[in-house]
Amino acid sequence: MSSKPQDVEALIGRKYQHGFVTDIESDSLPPGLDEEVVRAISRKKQEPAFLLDWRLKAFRHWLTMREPQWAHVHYQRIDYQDISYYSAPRTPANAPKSLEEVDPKLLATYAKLGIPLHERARLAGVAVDAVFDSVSVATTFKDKLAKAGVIFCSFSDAVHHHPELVERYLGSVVPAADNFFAALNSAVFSDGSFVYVPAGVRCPMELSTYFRINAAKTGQFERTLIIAAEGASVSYLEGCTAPMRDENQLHAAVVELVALDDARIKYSTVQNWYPGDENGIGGIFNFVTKRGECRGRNSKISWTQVETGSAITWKYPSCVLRGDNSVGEFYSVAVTNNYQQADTGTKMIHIGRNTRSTIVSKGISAGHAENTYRGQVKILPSAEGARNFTQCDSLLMGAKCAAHTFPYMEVKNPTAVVEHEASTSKIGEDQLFYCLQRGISQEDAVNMIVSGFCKVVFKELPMEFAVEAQNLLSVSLEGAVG
Amino acid sequence: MLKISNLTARVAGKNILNGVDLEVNAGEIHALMGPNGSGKSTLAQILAGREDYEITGGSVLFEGRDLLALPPEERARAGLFLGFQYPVEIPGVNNVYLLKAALNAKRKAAGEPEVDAYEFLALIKQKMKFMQMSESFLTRGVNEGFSGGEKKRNEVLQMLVLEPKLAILDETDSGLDIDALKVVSNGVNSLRDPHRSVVLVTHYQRLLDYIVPDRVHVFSGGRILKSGDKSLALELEKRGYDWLQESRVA
Amino acid sequence: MSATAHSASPATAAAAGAAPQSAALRSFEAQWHARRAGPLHALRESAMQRFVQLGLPTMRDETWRYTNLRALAAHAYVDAAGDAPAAALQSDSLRSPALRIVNGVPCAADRARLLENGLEIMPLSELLRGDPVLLRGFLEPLSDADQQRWALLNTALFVDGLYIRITARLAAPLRLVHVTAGPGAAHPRVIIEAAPGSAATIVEEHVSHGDADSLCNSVTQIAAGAGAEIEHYRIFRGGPRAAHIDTLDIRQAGGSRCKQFTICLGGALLRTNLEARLEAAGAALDSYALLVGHGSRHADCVNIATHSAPDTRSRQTARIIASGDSRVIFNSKVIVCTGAVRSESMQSCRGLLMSPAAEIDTRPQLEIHTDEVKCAHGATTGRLDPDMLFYMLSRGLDRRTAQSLLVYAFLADVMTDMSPAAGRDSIDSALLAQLPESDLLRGLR
Repeated sequence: MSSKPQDVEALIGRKYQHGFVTDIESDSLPPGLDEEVVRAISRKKQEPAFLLDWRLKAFRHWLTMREPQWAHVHYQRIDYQDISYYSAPRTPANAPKSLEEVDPKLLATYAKLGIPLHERARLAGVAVDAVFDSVSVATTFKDKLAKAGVIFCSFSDAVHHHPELVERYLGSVVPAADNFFAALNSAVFSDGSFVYVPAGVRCPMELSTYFRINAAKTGQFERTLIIAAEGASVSYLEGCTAPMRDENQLHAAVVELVALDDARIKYSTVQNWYPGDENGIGGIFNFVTKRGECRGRNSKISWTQVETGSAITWKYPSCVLRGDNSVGEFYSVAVTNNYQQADTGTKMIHIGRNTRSTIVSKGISAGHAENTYRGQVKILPSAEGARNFTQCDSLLMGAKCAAHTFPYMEVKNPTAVVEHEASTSKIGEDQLFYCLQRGISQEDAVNMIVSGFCKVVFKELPMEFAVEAQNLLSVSLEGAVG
Repeated sequence: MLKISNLTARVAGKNILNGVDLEVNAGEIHALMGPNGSGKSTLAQILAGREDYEITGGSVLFEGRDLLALPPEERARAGLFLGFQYPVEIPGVNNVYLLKAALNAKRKAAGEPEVDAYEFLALIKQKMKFMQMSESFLTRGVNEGFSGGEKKRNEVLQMLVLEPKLAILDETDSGLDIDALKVVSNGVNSLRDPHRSVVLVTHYQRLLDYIVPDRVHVFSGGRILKSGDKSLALELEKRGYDWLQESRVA
Repeated sequence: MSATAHSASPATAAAAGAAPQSAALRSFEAQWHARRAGPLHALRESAMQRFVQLGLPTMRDETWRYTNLRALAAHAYVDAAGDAPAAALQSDSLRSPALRIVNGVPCAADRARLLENGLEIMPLSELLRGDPVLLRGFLEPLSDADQQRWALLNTALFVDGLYIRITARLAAPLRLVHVTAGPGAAHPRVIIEAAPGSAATIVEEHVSHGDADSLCNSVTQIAAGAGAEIEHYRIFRGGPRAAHIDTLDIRQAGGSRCKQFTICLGGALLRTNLEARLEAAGAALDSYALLVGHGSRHADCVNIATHSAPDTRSRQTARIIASGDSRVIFNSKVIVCTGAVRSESMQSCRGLLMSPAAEIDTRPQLEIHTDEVKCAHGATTGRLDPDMLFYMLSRGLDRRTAQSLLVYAFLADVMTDMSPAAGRDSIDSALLAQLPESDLLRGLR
């Protein structure tokens, strides 16, 4: 049994639920990019000289770079002069000193998104940093975290209160000139989150950042830096949404993670930027550089991502396994429907001895979408006894979508073992039939099978996000039954 | 034949043998029983020369030689045979090649002439008949696609061909139905000889109905807790391993 | 200021500018200018122009990511002589009857000996004069794809070659031995047309003669008609200074079956391309690659199988061994086009690294444009399985023997699928000679 294509078309339909615009006064720079814009951003944020110099260096290098062409994605060239590089909600005073001073409209926005910023309405045990367009508007639970010695604040706050940490670690994992989008981010990033967990501390609660693009014609360029010192551990969640707009908006973020000896960092993302409409109009271009370095021995960095949004996703959360016995993990579910395109995966660079990495990627493609897994496993000559296991599976729903698998395995040490498995298929008709025969509706059956397909990734997510991810998955694939 | 004195070993920083003492004389059959994770299989692997374990103390003499100083292949040629609990599959390496190479390696080490292909084929066919194995076995890769029972039969077949002085059979009885158990036991019993010894590692008393041991040892926590004759196995069957643990504490 | 990222981009100029300066490219142009205009001149000229325009592939080109042609590019190549030294024709691999092709030119004397019913063999130079339209059909269309770059050069520069037409089920394998007698570059071209329902085994062996730096840029095209069955071997046994770039194109009609073996046993630099197109229902391809990296060899094998019709099947199997400071690359891709429903593909690649200085790079890729497919791949790179090794040691085998046996067994998947008539034993022997402990292995066979 199989349903006809017209059923598929008919069933696709549920709309993006976070597509509203918040009518709020904002302070924006006019579109355009030159050195003066970079200086203006730095000035607005009253940054120390080292940071301005760093931005300018990045900007000058960016001018010499070409936008990468190798990804399996197609889009109209971005006019970088038509983007505004800074937009902040205009607040009566300078910045809100406490949550009570935050514009009520903003709080309402986050409430609508299901992200309560009032601590009394908190998600159990989750501290939130909310980034609205270019700036962080609120960070909750600062005090409780401070008692444990954990620094969790907006990037701007970190620049002012912990400049020595920022200077020491900024760009140490993703150098300013790393790639085209990272260089652009380094030049114009406006805010983001900063986490420092001191030696021996287990962060007492989940940390979370919620990103929201609101203003039109605005790019969002946030920067996240997380450092787990010796023996520290932290779990960090990231969520994203944006209004529905006809034009594409650029999101070029950089995330850097540093894990010292025996430290653990778990970084989870549920990415639900506006994906564009069913004809492929609008949506976010999500060009993100995420990289973690297991700098110390026995350290571990684990990336989990559920990518359901964005018109185009271009991101490869990676691990540099420098410390001996360090561990890198990448668990990913990427869903593309309609005209969405995703080129995502990871890099595992094994440098230290007995380093281990695991990659599990589940790609689901429906409608006219293109879904590409691209992953590199590199075992350097020094990585004695290194191990990698990679599994990437693709599920196709409908005859017009595409799924690609592009692994790169480079092994330079004879004691290493690298294993890679991949498969591509559609939903098993016998599975579907089995469910239908038991009286389950086609749509529920597909949902069940797809979430079964993704289960191994979902179980890596913190509880609060697992439920959200599950819901997003069924919304994204609504009706895409093949 | 075999004398183990106060042997201690660990793996990944965890102590797994905590002072094993065991003496097996020529002609004897010993049964080593004990709960899962007690270190029985580790002992068997260490005796065969597995390198994954760190020996932290003690000694093992095999016919007066320092066994622990020998690489695994020399232990085999000296007459020590390990029947693996989980025999590995080696696709592409033919069963007959391996066995012939093993037999000739042993004969060469003993200063005996190598057997030629015809002699060998006659020998192996005879042993296969005894073990009730099908001829298709001859053309297959080592353990490739074998069922659990077939793998165990193959272990005993190899033992019959190599005629070791000391055979350590690690749970050779597990996963066998009653007919296969009889065949495997017949194989072991056929090797019984005043110059040969057998150490049976097993969970179950059942095997000892077919292969009657001279001594029974209970292994727990990485050492031998109690030794006795065959009646100890029956006692264990009745009262379980907990009985021993408790009686020890008491 | 209003500079965008694109206006100030010195990298672009550098990338485009570097290649045309190379000595190799200039020498190929010189070869071209020395050719006399013949039939199809316009087509061949445009192939040359495109090659010059695109330049030698660089590591920025997707399928050349792991192969650096800088040393080759710095070399100026003369045209390898068409008349070979007599010694070149006495190679070891010529014991059994074979058609010898020296620097791209077939030996006239061999042809008569091989003729049988159902087999037509004609030098390309003859076809060019006699039926240029037929030949044109095989030379077009020109492709800009980076894995076809050297085929463009071959199209422009081939001096001669073979056109082979198979019209029946041939009993004996057809053996072609290509001899590259350096110094200089040769551009052999072989075109094989298998009529519907025909069957043949074709073994192409490439050897080099002399110790001068030589370059062989060979192209073989196979067109398998409906229901045809072709077993094709390309065996590379070049000398320690030989560079070889080989391009094999296979087009398969409905119900055709093709078994293809690529065996790398020699040469300093070897790059092989395979592009197979399964163009009608029921076409099936089994491709095997056996790549041995020995000494400081660099071997880069690129396989692309395109399923453009429903109910097509491809299976790719690769076994790689790298010792010394060799580097071996296996880059395979399966493309399933829109509408090619019920396609099935399987890629299996296993690599064995035998030394700390060697490297294996693998890229098993899938590009799928329809949902009704079953595609899978598996790839592993590692060392000999320590459990297997221990098992054999515990049976009394010494370490060297056990290792050799395991290495040999590792290759068995590919060897056992070869038909004995194709000279499996001789391939086997040549292979053994390059493995560690080859003497031991011979004894165990």
